[in-house]
Amino acid sequence: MGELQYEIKNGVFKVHINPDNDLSDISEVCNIVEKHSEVVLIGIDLYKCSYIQSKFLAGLIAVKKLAMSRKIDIELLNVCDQIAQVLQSTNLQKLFVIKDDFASYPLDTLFEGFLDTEKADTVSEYLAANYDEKIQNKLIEIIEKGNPLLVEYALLTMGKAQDHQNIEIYRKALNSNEANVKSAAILVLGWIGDTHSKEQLYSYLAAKEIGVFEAVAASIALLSDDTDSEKLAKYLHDKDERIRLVAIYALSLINDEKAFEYLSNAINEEKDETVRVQLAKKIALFKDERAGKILLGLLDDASIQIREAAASGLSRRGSGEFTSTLVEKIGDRDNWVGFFAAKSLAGIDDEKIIKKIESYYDKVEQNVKLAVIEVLGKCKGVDPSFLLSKLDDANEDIRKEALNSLNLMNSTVALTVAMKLYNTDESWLVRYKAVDIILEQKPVGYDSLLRGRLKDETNKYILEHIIGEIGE
Amino acid sequence: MNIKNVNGKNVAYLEGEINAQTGAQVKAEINKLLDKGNVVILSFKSVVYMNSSGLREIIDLFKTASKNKKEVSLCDMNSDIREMFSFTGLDKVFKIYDTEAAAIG
Repeated sequence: MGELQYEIKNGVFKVHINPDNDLSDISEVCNIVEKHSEVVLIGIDLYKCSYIQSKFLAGLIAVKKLAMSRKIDIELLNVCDQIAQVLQSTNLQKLFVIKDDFASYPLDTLFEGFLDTEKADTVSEYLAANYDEKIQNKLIEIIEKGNPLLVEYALLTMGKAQDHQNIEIYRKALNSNEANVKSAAILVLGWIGDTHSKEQLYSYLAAKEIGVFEAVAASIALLSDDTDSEKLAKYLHDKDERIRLVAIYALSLINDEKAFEYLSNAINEEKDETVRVQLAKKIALFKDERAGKILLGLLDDASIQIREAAASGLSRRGSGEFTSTLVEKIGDRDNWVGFFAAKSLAGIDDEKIIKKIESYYDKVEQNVKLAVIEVLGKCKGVDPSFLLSKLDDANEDIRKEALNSLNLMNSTVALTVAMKLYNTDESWLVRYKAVDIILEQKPVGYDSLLRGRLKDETNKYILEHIIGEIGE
Repeated sequence: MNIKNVNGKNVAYLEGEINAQTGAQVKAEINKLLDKGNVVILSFKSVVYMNSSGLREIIDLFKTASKNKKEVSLCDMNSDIREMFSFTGLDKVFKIYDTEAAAIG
C-alpha cells in the first residue's frame, strides 16, 4: 500500500496513481469523493504506471460506479500503451474517457512530444498556454540545437504564446535551409505582426517554392497595407495553378478594393476549372455590390461546379436585389441553372416569394424539385402544408427531402410525421431520416416506439442506428 | 455586438463585418470584459465578412489576453471564416470550437 497523492481544485479531483498503490488505495478514492460534494470530475492519472493489476481494475470499476451514481465525469489520464491494451482486452476502455494530461509530465520529457506527430500540436498548445520563463528558455535551447522538427514546433509554440521578445530568433530562422523551419518562422512573424520582415518575405514569394509560398502569402496578407494586393496579384497569372490558388486565398483575405478588382478580372481570364471555382467562392466574400452581379452571371456558366459555387455564394450573401431574377431562373430551360437558382434563395422570409418558389415545383425536373424542397426548409415563416403534401410522393428522395426540410422548418410537426413514417414508409431512406428526427428530439416513449418495430426492420443501417443509441 | 453570460462565461456575439474599424471596437469592448472576468468566447455565427485588418484586431486582442493570463476562445464559424484562420495558421493559435455549447464546455 502506498500513500495516495491527490488534489481537489475547482471541482476537479485528481489522483496520481503510483505503481505501489493497491486496491485499498483506489478504494480510498471513493471515500474521498463521497466526502467532497463539490467534485464534478475525477481524473485518475496513470503517468507513473506502466502496468496495472487485475485487482486495480476492480477498483476502477467501483470508482466508475460511484461516479455514475453521483453523475460525476471520470477520466483516465496518461494511459500507457500496455495499460491501454489491458483496458481494451477487458472491454473497459468504453467506460472511461482516456486522455493526456501534460501537467503530470516533467518539462524535459514533454518537449520530446514534438517528435510525436500525434502529440506535437497538443504539446505545443499546452506549452503555449502555460508559457513562462522556464519554458521559454528551454525552447530557445531547442532552437539553438537545430533539430529541424523540434525547431519548427519550438518556433510555433513561441508564436502561439505571442512571445514578441524573441523576434530576432524568428527573423534568423527565416534563413534556415529547412522548409518546415522557414515556414514556421514566416507564420510566426505574421502572427506577431512583424511588418519589418515583409520585404524579406516577398523574396521567398518570388522563389515560388510551394511549401513556403503558402506561409509567405498568408503572412503577407496578415501584414498587408494598401500596396500588397498589387504585388500579390501578379501571381494570379502564374503558370503553376497551386501558386494561383494561394494568391487567390491571400487576396481574398486582404479583401480591399484593389484585391476585388484583380479577382473579378481573373475570373474572366482563368481557364482552369478548379481555380475558377475558388475565384467564384472568394469573390462572394467581398462586400462590394458588384460581387453579387458577377455571381448571378456565373449561374449560367458552362461548369456545374462554378454554378454551384455561385449559388452558394449568393445564398451566403443573401439574394437581396437579385431575388426576383433568381426566382425566375428556377424555371430556366437548363435544369441545373434552375437547381442552383433555387438553392441560392435560402433565408427568404417573404410569403409572396415563397409561394412563387412553390409554384415552380410542378413545372420543373426532379433535381429542381429537390432543390425547391431543400430551400423551403431554409426559408422563414413557410406554411408547412406544401411540404406535408410531398410526403405522399411516389419518389422516396422527394419524401425524404420533404421530411428533412419539414424538420428544419418546424421540428414539432416533423416529429409527429416522423413517428408515423417510421412505422409506415416502405423506403428505408425515409425511415432512416424519421429515426434521425426521433433520436434527435427523444420524445417521451421514443425508445419503446423504436424498439416496437425492431423485429420487423430489415435494413441494417437503421438497425445499427437504433441499436447504437438505445441498445439491443 | 450582444454579450450574454452563459454558465458564468461571457459570450460575445460578433455581427456583420469584421474590419479594421469594427474589429477595433470589438477589441475595446472585449478588453473591458476581460478586466472583470477571465474568459470570453467570441461567437462568429453572424459574421458575414472579415478581412485581414479585422483579423489583426482579433490577434491583438488575443495578445493582450494572453499577456494578462486571460482566455479568449472562438466558436460557430462558417467554413469561409474558418478557412481564413487555417490559411494563416491561426487555427493553431486560437482555441476554436465548432459550437457555442462546446466552447462553454
